[in-house]
Amino acid sequence: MDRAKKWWALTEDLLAGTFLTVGITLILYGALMRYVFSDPKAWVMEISTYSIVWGVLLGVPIAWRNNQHIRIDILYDKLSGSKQRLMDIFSNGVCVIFCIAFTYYGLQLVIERYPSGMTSMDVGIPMWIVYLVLPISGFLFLLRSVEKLVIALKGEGEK
Amino acid sequence: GGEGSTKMEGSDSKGDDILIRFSFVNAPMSIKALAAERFAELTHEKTGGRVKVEVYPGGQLYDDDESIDAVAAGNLEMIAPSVTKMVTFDPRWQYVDMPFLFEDEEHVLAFFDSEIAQDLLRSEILENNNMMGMGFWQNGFKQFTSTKIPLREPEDFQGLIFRVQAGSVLESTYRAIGAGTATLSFGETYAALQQGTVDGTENTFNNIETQNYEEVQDYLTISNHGRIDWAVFVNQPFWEGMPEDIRIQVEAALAEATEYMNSIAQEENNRSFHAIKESGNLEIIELTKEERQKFELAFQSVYEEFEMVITKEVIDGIRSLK
Amino acid sequence: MSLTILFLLFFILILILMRIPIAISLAIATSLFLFHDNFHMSMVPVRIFSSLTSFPLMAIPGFILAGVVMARGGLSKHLIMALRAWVGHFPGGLAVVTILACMIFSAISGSSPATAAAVGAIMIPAMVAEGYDKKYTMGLIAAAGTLGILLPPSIPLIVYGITVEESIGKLFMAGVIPGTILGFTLIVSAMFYAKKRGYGISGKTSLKDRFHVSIKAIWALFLPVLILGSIYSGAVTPTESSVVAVAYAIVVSVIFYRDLKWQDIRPIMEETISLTSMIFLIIGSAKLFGLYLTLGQIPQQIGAWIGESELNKWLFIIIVNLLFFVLGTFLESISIILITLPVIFPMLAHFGIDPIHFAIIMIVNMELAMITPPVGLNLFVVSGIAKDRVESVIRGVIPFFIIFIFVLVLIILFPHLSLWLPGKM
Ligand code: NA
Ligand code: NA
Repeated sequence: MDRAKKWWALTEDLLAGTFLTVGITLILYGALMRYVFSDPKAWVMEISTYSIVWGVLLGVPIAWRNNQHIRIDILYDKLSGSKQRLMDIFSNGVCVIFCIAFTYYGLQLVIERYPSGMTSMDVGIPMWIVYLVLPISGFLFLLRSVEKLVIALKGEGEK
Repeated sequence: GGEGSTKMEGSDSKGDDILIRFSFVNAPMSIKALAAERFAELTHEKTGGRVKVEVYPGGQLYDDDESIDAVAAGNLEMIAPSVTKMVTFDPRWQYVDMPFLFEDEEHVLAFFDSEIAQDLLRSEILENNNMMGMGFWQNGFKQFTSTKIPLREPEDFQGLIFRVQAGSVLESTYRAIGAGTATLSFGETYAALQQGTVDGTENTFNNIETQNYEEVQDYLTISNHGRIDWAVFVNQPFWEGMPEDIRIQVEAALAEATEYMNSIAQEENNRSFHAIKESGNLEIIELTKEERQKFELAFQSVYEEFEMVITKEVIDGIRSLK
Repeated sequence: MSLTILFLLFFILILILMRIPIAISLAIATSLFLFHDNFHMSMVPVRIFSSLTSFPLMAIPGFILAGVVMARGGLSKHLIMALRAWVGHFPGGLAVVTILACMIFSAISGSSPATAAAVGAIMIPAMVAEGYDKKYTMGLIAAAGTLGILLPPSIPLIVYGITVEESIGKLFMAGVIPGTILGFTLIVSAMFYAKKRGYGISGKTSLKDRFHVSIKAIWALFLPVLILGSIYSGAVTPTESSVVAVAYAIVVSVIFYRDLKWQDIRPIMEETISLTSMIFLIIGSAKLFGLYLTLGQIPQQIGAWIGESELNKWLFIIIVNLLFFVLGTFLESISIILITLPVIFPMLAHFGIDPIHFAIIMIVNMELAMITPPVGLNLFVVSGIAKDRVESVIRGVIPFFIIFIFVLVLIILFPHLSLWLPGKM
């Protein structure tokens, strides 16, 4: 179980980390080519932006895993333990619903764009590929939300 | 994909309370916004208030790329994006960036009324995406501006870097004269010109003036080398869901607004040109016939490269309208 | 429709109080309302996606990564030691350095969250080590970081200039004096506060030790010079400079400080991604909420109401400022400018308000928007960097909030503060 969890986290980190690193490296490459070699690469801006946004969206479940998404605890702190547990179940339940909807509509978007022939402006990447990140990150986010909901249901509380 | 596209309120009604939301990224006081307001008034008049046009300028509703998505999905009824943006559907629209394709304003207007234009506006690929082109709105010819070096001949471009809008035609155009292109975002362009991160840019007189590029540039070359134009699109299922009589009235309103648009575009470009000239911020360079021919010769390779994708039909068709 | 909006706001607040992440609360509540209006729902993910694909936003992950690398790679440690040695013994010395750093850094990035991220990563640990209250420190960074959009360059001022066709050069100049006044008011307040609380009374470091730590910190001290120099020489754009900073921090950490090891890569990336994803998800959700507001024509209705109610100039200014404030609690600055300016701008001439003066009033309001909950990007950046609860940051920012209001009133009452410099152009 712990082993599986390790691999799961590693997969998330590798996916998001790769895209973010590629994007940031491309920005540096673009600046170098323009300034040092006077040979600007027009495709850099679009690809680096998409790559970073991919990395960031794939990073949403990582932020969730690390409890980075901002929550307000004013009410939560005033509640007793059993009521806190109810609130945990409710809030994580809502997140699960959000993730299901996000994944569903993200997938619908990809399916709609697939036959459309729409491409990105600069490089001409098919838009359905660009949008593919939405259902993928939605699904990874869903897995983390389900994990949190299960923990809340078991009443274990967050580490 | 468009099952959802007929779901909007208004499009399925009996004919009253039809709402057309018209979104674009140009500023609220730009010529496009004036024309859009005129269209809204005319539509109200002609349909006796049965159709309401809500104008959303300045990208307050959607940005350019997103607005195209929104019309395709049926979340928005009308847009007027820069023609270049349509490359996302159909590479033939790259015609607009081809250097020295158009001779003068008359040539451009003749193209707008031509069969080729109709073919682009009502193409199958657009139809498959629930998009329908209603017509063109003219903006103007692009001019070169630069910081360090006055630009008279192709050789002057050697080693310079220009900020251009996205698109591979523009990249090839500048490469053909030894220059590079950078596609900076709108928000970064002003500072990049000021700092000298890029050496120049290209735009219409009106955009140069209203976006204040004359504050951070030294030279302007009147080249008329390319075009910026807009095209008006509607969501097709929405359009066809309107009663016939209403459609005719809205079309008439749009035709009048288009005429108005084309006249103010020319006026405003002239006014901006004089304003730039009087400001004295830019040294203005006019090309001689020979200088212009040198450029046209240098840009031959761009035509060789893009004739296939834009199609000979479109390029030769436009040329024959001179 | 206005009633629907109030209901939506109430709904969002309930979800937030139920401890649902702010970004999710905004997104799910707005999505439900859009769904109810027959919105084509696959456009919701498009909205979130396309609100993030703006190149200047890429400076945020860039500067966050640079900050994390500096913290792990030893640059921050050396910088902090040098700063403490030189100014640690002055009352409020480090707080003053923090504010000055924010002012200088704001000359680099046109964005406030990027300023807060870059300066906060170094100065929060430094000030806490010197004994400053953490809440106060976090509040200071969140507030001073907002100077990024008042002092030039400023992305919101560029958007303003393009929206109403005003000279961007003049707008930039207009922000200089108000930005400096705001910065120095913060400095004076920090000095008084430090005196009262007895901050910065650690023993004076000997001159020899000062030079010793400075020499060690020399590679880190060169970083701001490199960033500023690379932009003002025209080598790179501000967004690109964030990546130059990352590259430099890595090189220095590996070669000179030798503090960075292979096994540091994963935690560095994890921290950067967590923080950036949190901020970007909130930006995306706030943009979705903004779309709903615009579709409901709320700004147009408010504009029409202001236009009809025959206000006098001062009542108009008060109401417009209140409007910015209320919108600023939920939206981020660019959205507010795009949504409200087309409606409000045409009224300025009627009241005889100079558009450049109004721009500065608006930008100070946008600064406030970044430090007001529930959506205040600087609050979240600081909470993420300092690894502390956002409630603590909010509590820490309150005194600075009051200072901002005070300076805002000054800027409103004395148009010359904004108009004198651009008038010299
Ligand atoms: Na700035
Ligand atoms: Na806020």
